[in-house]
Amino acid sequence: MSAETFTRDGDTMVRWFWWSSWSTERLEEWLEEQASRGWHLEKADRLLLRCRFRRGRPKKVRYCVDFPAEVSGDYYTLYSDAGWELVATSTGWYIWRAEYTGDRRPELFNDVQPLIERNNRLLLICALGLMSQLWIFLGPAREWFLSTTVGNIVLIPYVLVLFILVAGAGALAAQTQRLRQRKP
Amino acid sequence: MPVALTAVQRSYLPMSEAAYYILLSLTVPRHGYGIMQHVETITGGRLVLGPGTLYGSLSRMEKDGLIAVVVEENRRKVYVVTDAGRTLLQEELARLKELVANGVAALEVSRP
Repeated sequence: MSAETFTRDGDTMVRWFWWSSWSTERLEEWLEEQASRGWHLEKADRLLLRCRFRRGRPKKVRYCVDFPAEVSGDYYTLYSDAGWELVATSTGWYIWRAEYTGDRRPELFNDVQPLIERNNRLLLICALGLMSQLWIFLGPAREWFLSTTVGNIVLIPYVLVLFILVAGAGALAAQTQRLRQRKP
Repeated sequence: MPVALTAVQRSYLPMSEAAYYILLSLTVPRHGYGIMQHVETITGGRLVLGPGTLYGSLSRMEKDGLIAVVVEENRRKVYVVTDAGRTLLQEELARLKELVANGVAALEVSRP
């Protein structure tokens, strides 16, 4: 996470926040903490990592990161009717927020089943990515990777991507296990 | 009129509280937010359906033939329960009645 960057008038702040598909709760809690300090998310970049905040009154705001299986026109309408505001979106991910008072923190979901299904979809994406990467490595390009200098250099980021995919799949599976234990 | 249910439709039994109230609300045509308001009213504010739960449930129930879209206006789909959805509700209601009757018999009926 980088240091806070303020504009000259001090009303806008830009911060980076590194999150991943298996740590959406961390992003939600961080955004909620900023809102409680009076900094409200105004815009995020295409990767939803660089966040621009605008100064306002400190408020209780619930932020939720959603990754729906499919989106039709009434997705936006239903969420908006229910009092949620879409703040940022990118490649299937949506950041929604709702202000609230009292102790009843609004939720997008009434139980953990949709979150388990979301994790299963993400696991499938990881598995497909892993299989395609392994196929490239084990296929005809294997010799090139191992026996040429350029191949050796390309192998380094390639192995890094493999590592991220395996780590991601493991983290998603562990999170699903925790969600199942929370399930009533 | 009761209809034969498919295995997919039967997989909703026993129903989650959210699924039960969504289907129950759609014995009258309603759009998503109308369902949320109705459920909150008839449960005295106890059950507030999250829009994510509702959106996912409506999509799945429509695909599984438990509800159908009557009309779409201003990007709001109005749904109503199908015969299969009503049959499923009746089966769930029979199960709930049995639960309540057994509970009352065991805990509330005074014994000599």
